[in-house]
Amino acid sequence: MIDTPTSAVRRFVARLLSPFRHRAADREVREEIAMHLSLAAAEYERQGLPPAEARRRAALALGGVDAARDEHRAARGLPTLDSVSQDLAYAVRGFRREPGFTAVAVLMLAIGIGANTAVFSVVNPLLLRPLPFRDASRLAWMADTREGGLSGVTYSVGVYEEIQRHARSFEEMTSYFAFFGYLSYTLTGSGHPERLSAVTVGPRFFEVLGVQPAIGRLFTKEELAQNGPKAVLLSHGLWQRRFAADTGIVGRTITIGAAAPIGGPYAYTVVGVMPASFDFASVFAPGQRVDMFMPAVFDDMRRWGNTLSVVARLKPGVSLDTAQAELAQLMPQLSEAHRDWGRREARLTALKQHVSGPISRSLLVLWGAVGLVILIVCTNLSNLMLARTTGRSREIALRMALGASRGRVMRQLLTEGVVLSLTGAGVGVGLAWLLTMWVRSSETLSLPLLSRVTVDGSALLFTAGLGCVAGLAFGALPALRISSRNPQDALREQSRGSTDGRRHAWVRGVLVAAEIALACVLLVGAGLLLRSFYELQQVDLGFRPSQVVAVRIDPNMTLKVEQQRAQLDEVSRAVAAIPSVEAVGFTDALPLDRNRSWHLAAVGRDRRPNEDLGPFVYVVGPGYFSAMGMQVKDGRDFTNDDTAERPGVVVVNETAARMLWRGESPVGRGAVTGDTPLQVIGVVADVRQTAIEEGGQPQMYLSYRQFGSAGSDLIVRSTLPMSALGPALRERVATVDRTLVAAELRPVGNLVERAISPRKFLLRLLGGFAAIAVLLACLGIYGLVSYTVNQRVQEIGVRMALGATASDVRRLVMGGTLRLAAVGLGLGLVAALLLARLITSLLYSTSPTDAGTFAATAVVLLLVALVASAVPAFRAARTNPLSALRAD
Amino acid sequence: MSQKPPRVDLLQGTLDLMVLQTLQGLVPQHGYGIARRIEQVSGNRILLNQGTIYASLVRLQQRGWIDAEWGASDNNRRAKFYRLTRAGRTQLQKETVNWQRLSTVMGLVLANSDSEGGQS
Repeated sequence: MIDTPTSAVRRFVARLLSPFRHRAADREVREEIAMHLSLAAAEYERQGLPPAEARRRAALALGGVDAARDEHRAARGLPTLDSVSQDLAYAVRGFRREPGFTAVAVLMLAIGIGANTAVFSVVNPLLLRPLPFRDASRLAWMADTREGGLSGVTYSVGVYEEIQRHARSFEEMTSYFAFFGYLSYTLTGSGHPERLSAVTVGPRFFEVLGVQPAIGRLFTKEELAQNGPKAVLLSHGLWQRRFAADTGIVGRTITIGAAAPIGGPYAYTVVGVMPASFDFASVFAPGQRVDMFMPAVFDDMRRWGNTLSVVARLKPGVSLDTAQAELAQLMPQLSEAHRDWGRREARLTALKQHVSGPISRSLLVLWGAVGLVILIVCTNLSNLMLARTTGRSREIALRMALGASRGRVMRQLLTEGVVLSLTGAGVGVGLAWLLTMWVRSSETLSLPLLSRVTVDGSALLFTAGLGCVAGLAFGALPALRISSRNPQDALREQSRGSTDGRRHAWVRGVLVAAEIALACVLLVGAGLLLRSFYELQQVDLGFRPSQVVAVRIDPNMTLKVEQQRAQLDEVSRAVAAIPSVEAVGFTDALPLDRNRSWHLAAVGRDRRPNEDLGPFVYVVGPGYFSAMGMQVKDGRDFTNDDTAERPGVVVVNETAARMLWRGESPVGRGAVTGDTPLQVIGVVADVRQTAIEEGGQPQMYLSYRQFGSAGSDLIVRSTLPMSALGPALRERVATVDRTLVAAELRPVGNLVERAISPRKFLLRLLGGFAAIAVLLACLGIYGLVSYTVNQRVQEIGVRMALGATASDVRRLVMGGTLRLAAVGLGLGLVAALLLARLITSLLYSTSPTDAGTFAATAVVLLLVALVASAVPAFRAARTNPLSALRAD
Repeated sequence: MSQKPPRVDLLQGTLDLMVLQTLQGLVPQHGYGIARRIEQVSGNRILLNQGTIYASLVRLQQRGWIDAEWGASDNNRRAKFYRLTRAGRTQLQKETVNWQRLSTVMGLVLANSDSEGGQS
């Protein structure tokens, strides 16, 4: 029987799927055969044979029950390994004969599939897999909805406890100290002193998440109570790095000190070590490092204001919406009962959404983009394979004439596609592995769950699946073509100029146009992101980050607060004396870094409901503004005279001044934060605090001689390189007090770098994909034009013999290409116009229909088409009409 | 599609065609019925290995040329009944024409070579 293309594909799919119902099929055929035997025996009996003889004859005519079943199995199942390995061997032999073609194809596939595997490896932990906690789908993030950075979305201990007491939708709630980044701890004792970061966590934090320590235990009630025993849980990283993974550490004490309000140094008992799989920072604070966990003692924190981030576990069967509805009723009631709270709200987000929601759009865009890349690769390979199959059409026709069935030849072509594709996939996995390593090790990249980005089992499975599908996809076109042809025609075909050749070129033209269209979509996307990136870099940050470093200096904790502040003054003066240091100043908060906000009101103005301001707060020392390169617009900077004995002073930024004093100069006027009266002494330019994209936020600066409590960052502006500045700085600091640690110099530029890193990440990858797409389209165009020129060499010869000049021929060839490119471009631009809306939220002051980007894309692609067709066009123009006509 | 000795291959191809032809009538038939029908129509000149009919049926079914359905047989037991699909009908017409052309050509060629053989 001669298969039609449809029947061959149907049978192939059916055989592929047959293992899934192997048992059922066996049972059915057994039943059929039993029925068959009973019918046959009955017929023999009717002919007068005794029952036993009738049954014997029936079995004889059937020829064996097992044989029939085996033959049925062979027919319905996959072809035996024999013929598959024959196909494989034949495919490999074929590819060996054409190393050039094979190398190009494998390289394209490796890039296409590798990019897909890498993106899948990033997308999988962030979007597809649940968070690494027990029953993570029931975890929710609870936050207030006010302005003002972290302070606006966290709760005070009092509010938190009231919600916990009254809310019914939750099995449990827990919290951690959201401003943990402000406190830094110094580990002393054995070895050199080391600065560590710790998160203080509320009761049952790990229990609610469902995380167990790798060794040791979690915190007890006593450890969480006021004046309880001091306990610490180590992160896996710290345990390995500092304690050489010594399991004996549990139960021992280590010496840790911190600035007020923690104080110390005290002896802390190590009660346990968290497992490596628990990476707090990658979930809750991307881009930061967390070394240890300590109990948050609520009774010490009652007067600290809004400091708790809250995670709640929903009761089984309670939906997020139900819980949200309950909170929507509960919160106004609670606010009513506690007038001093102000209006408090609580919004729930699935924890997963809270963690990966902000970047899910970027990731989906990347996933889509990389899908387009593999489409382009497949289109390109379809084209290459089609050309190769045409070159082999006589060989294939011969095989068919010698008895190979059409189905067998199709299977051969599909096998070749899959072999090629899986080889590419193998190389691609290597590429993906390198790419994920790069992503994981990017220090300044602030993406959540980065530590879980690996090429794991599911990524490999995805790759294998993609490889097979891709192989079948680009093997299918040549296979279908072969099957729709008559072998006799193929043997007879003079290939050149035949109608079949023309139709063939037409199919290839469509493929190339599709490639251009796909590349166009990617290029427009990358262009829009690039434009946004450029716009973002034009933003006036309000400070100049270059040549500025921040170094964390905690005062000597054995001194009184007033002495500590004086000591920091001394440090400031000592560092300022280093030659080439232009300016120094302390601060406890940096732009684009930690943030917190306090209340601020203008004295002597009627307070209207919306005039309560919650500006970001920076407790700074004299010189901070010039060290950061900020402009003082009005009034003056802090001086060493703004001490605790003098009236409180405040510097506000332009936005706060405008909001509270409506264009009048606030300098000299009164303001109040909490209960503390302040006098405004100056106005500075706005700085970007929560994100580079976000401007116009109110900010205020207080003197650290009046408000300083915790340790601070010393900001140093210097023309010295970091490597030279570090030792000089440490030396000067040590002259003030040998116990002061000035360990790590952080370039302030890194903060900017970190803030733009997700955008840069997306831009780099998408830009890379677009570049690959353009390159592939270029190859595709070149291949098509070369092929067409070869096909039409006779026609060109005739034209030249009849008087066409070389430039006529060039115009003929390149004109055709440009028409094709124009069609692809037209389709691509329309598609891009429709798709660009999807990335609107990722753009910054760039319209998704930005005319410049679209125009640039069109120009780039037309140029690419011109260049790619120029080489074959010039070759065509050199055709010697005589030899062209004589060929054949 | 598979690599068996040519004699079986030939038989397999022809068996599939015969099964299609047998199912041409409108009444669905079970495997035994098809086998007996082929034997009868050929005047019992084809001695069928009846078990092979089931492999043939699954091949045709996978290609989408026939359909199967469970139903009650004459003796009121469960049996699987097969019938031709539209694609199968088209295929049967095509194959019949092919087969006739082939057998005519084969007949001519064989007759010709016979006479040539006689001359030499």
